[in-house]
Amino acid sequence: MAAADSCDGISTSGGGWEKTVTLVSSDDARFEVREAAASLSQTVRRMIRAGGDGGIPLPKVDARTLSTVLEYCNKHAAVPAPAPESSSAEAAAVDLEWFDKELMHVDLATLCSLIRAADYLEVAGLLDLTCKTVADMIKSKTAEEIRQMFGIQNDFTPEEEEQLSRENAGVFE
Amino acid sequence: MPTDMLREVLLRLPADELCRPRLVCRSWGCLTSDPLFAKEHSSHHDRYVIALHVGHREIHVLDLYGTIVMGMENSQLDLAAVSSASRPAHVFHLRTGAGDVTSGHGAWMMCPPKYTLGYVPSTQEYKMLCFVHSYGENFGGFVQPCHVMTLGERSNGSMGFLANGNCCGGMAYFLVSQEHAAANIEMDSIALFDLVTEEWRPAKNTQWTANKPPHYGQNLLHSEDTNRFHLSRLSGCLVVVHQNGHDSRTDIWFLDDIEMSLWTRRYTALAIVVWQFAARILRAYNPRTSTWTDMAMLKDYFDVGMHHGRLLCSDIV
Repeated sequence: MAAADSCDGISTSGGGWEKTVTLVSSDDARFEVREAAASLSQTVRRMIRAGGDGGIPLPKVDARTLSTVLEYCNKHAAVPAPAPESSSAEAAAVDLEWFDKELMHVDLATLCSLIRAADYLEVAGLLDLTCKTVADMIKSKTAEEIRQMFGIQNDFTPEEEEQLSRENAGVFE
Repeated sequence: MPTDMLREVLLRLPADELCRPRLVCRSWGCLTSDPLFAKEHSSHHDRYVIALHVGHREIHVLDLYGTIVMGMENSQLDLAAVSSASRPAHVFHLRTGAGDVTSGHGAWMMCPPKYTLGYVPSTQEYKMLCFVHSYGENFGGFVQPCHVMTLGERSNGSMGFLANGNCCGGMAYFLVSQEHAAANIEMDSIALFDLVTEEWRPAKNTQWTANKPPHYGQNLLHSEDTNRFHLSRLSGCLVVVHQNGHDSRTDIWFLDDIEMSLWTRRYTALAIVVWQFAARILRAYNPRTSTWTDMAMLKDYFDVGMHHGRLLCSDIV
């Protein structure tokens, strides 16, 4: 994070500085990000290639969600390709795993906005992470518990429900 | 949550966990019953192996911890070929669990032949490639002729070839380890065999992007070198697994463009699963941390391969 912070405000490459880009959220907050980090989003990467100035508009992502996405991108872009046979590669992977876990300590509503943002921005790693987190929350819950979690109405008739349970029992012994 | 995002979430649940979300409401039920969903789901969860049990002579589908999993309904490739010391080879039907189809390979050989199954989408046929280890008359050395056969039939004829091969999308790919006069294929290249026409495709120069695997192309496939190359399948793509014996690091190269022969090295979240026949241990390799983990001891099994043929790396260690 320190490396990313020190780059804030520097908009051109040169010397030891990294190139940065400006991303604009739906509520007009501006984020200065290293290009390497922003490029983890395929959507942003395409927009950088297309060129233009005055910042890249992201009308589908609000500032709060975008800042979490960028936190993820900054951390993951800072990690160099794993070097073989070094204990530091393993340590970096452990650190990253811990970081991801911490980042996912949020409520379901936040997770859902993160999934939407990751999908729109095409950040494959974050999409996988957020979806897995929600999948883990669903795991070992009953259908009724899942309905409560997502606020879903049961629209099956009791007969249909019974038949489906029977079918399921046959498939997964 | 929008449907396509819900789909992404549910794809990440293991098959046995999907039964309860299916009961939540109609739209969740429809989503998870869709055949396309099932197909995609299997590509997210290629974490089962198929193995032939020595004692029972049955095929089992196991998870990576050696627990037998039954009732797999999401099977994409319904058939699994297993070779054993006693011929003919059995081809098992995974849905029924029955070993009902046999393809003969008559003569007794020192080593059991190896089989690879390929599916031809246009004709909906399964074809099997059979690699036989034997001493060739003309070469005077150890050769691996390869036969191609349509399931249920006798051998279609020998391709007279030696290779380490795999099938993907109606094509069979081979790592060529010895020059083949008829096909005019160079050593240490990757050859393509069209399963539809049963003919060789002209070989193309392999292009490696980013870094070329070290030493590749230096006639190492049949040498005693510590670098090993193995063809496999991952997420519907043909991949080359390159194992570097010096630091036991393993890279995966994906074939991105068949026409251009374009390969790229990618890191995948999936672990590489390797079956060590000698020790009868199932091991997993994590490409991100370059570490190995012992998964399960399968002492009553031989001929273990990944279920769905997504990643079949038997005996590469």
